Amino acid sequence: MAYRKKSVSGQIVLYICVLLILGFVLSPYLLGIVTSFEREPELVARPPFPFKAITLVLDNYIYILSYEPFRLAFIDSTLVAVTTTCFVMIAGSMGAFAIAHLRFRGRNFLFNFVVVVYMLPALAMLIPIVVLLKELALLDTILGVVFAHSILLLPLMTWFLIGIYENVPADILEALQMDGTSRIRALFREVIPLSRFGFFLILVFSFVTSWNDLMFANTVGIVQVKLLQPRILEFMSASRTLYTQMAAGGILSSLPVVVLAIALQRQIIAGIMKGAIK
Amino acid sequence: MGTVQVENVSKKFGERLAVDSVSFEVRDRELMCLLGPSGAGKSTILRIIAGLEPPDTGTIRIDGKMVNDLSPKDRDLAMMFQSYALYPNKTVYDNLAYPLKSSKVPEPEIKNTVSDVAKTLGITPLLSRLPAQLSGGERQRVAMGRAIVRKPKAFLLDEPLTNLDAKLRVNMRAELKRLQRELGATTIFATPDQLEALTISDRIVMINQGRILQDGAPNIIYDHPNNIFSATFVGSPAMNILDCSIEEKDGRLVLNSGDFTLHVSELAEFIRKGTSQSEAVLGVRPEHVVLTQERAGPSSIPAEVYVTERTRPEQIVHLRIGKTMMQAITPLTFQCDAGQRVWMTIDPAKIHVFDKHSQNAIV
Repeated sequence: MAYRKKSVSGQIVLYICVLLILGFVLSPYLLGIVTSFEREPELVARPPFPFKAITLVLDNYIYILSYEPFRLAFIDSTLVAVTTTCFVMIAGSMGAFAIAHLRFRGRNFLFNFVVVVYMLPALAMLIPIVVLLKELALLDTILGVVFAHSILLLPLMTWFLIGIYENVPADILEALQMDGTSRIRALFREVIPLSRFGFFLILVFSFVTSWNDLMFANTVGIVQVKLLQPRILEFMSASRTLYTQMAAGGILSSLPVVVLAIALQRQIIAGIMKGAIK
Repeated sequence: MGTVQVENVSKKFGERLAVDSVSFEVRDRELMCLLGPSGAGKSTILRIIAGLEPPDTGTIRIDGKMVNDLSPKDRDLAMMFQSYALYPNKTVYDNLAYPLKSSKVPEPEIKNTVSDVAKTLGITPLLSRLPAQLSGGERQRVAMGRAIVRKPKAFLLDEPLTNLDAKLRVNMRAELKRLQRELGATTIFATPDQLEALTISDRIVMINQGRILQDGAPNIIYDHPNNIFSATFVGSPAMNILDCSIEEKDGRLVLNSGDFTLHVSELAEFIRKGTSQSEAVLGVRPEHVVLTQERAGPSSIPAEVYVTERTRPEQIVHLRIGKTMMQAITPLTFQCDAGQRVWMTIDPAKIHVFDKHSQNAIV
C-alpha cells in the first residue's frame, strides 16, 4: 500500500465533513421526499425542523397519479424532451462534425456564431421565440415547445459536441474517406460510437434541460399544451398552495432524471475504466 | 498496378505556398521516395494524390487518366498514415475487412482476402485483437495490411516507419521493400529519413519548401547532388561544406577556403563554364577525406584532430584546419586522438562545387 494509513479520528472528521456537505446539498430534496409522504394538516402544523414522528401516507401519490392532467403532462413532457433531444443530438452532431472536421468557407464564423448565441441569456430569446412561434401558428402546440427548446439547446450542445468530436483523430476520418465511407456514415457509424461517452453525456444533458424547463414550457404552452413543470406549478395559486401534492409531483417528475443520472454515471465510470486498462 | 503522374501541382495554405509547381512521374512497380525535412510538403503532395486535398493548380493522372475530379475512393489508391489511423473500435480482422466491405465485396471473398493478407504479413494470430492491444510494429503491419487488401493501383505511404523504434524501423524497412517487390506495387513513400530513402527506394524525389530540388536514383542523388540542400541532406555524417574563393595560382586554378587551398586544374573547364563569380562553395563527403599520419603527397593538408566518434565499424574524425571544421570517415585502425596532428588529402575528382548564390551544383 502506497498510501499512509489514516488515523481513526481523521477518518471520523472526514466522514462528518462529507455528511455535512451531502446533507446541505441533499436536504431540499430529502425534505421534498418527506413532504410528499405527509398529510397537509400535519405539515402546516409544524415547522420542518426539528423532526417529529409523522405518519407517512401514500395519499399524495395516489392523488397525483389519478389526476388526469398530470398523467397527460407527463406524457407530453416525455414527448417534448425525447423529440427535442433527438433533434438536438442529430442536428447538433452534424453541425459539430462539420465545424470540427470539415474545412469550408465561413467555418470560423459559424463557430463563433454558435458561441455567441449560446452566451445569450435564454430570457433574451423568449419574446422573439414566442413571436416567431405565433407567426408560424405553433404557439401552444407540442411542436412549438420542441422548437423553442431546440433553439435554446442547439447552440450549447453543438458547442459541447464540437469539443468531443475534435478528439477523433483526423487521420481516422481520412482513412474512412479513402475506404469509401460517406461523411454521414462516418459520423453516425464511426465518430459517434468512438465518442459515445461524451455523446451520451450531452444527450442526458439535453433531455434533462428540456424536461426541467419551466420558463419556455409556461410561455409557449398556454392552454392546449401544459407540460409537467407548469402543471406542478399550478398546485401553487394565489389563494392556496397544495404543498404535499406539489412535492409528490416534483418527486415523480424527478424520477426520469435520477434514472438517467445513474445510467450516465455507470457509462462515465465504464469510460474511465476503459481508458485505464489499455 | 499503375503509374502516377503529378503535373505542375501547387497548393497554398493561407499565405504559405506548401507545394510549388511540383511535377514527377512514378512508373509501374516503382518504389519512389519523397524525401525532405518535416514541413517540406511531402504529406501534402501525398494527400493531393490521394484526393484528400484539392490542388490549387495542376493535374494528377493515374494510369494516364486525369483523376482531379474523382473522390478518394474512386481513385483506386491506398494510403497508409503516419499514425496508422487504425479504427480503434474494430478488431484487426474488421480493420482489414473494412475497405472491402465498403466496396461491397461478397463476404466469402473478404474472408479469403483478409486471411491471405494476414498470412503475408504474419498477423494471423492478431486478427481478433483490438488496435489498442497491439505493439507499434504490429499496428504498422495491420495498417500495411489495410492498404494492400484492396489491391489498389498504387500505395501512398506517409512516413510509414517514423513511429517505430530504431531497431524495428530497420527490420520493417527491409520488410517493406520485400513486400513491395512481392506485390509489384507502385509505391510513393514519404520520409524525412535519408537513410530509408537511400536504402530501399528505386528513385528519390528531393523536396524542400514545397519545391522539387532533384529527382533521380539514390546513387545519382548521393554522388551527384545538384544543389547544396540535397548534398547535405543525404548522407551521414553530412557532406563538408566550405565557402571558398576561386583563384589562379601559378597559372593553375585553386579553391581557397582561407585555411587551405585545393588544386582543381582538372576541373578548371567546368568551373569556368559554371560560374563567372570568384566565390563558390566546396563540398566534400567525409568518406572522400583521406587521413594519413605522415604527409602523403604535395597536396596533403595538415589538420588537427578535434574529436573522434567511434561509430563502429568506422570512426568519424572531426578535424580543425585553422578556423575550418571538417569531418572524415576512417577505419577504426587509424590511430588518432584529440589534439593530434594528421594529414588530409582530398581527391579533386571527388569534390563538389556549388554556386554560392543559386546554391546549384557546378561540378
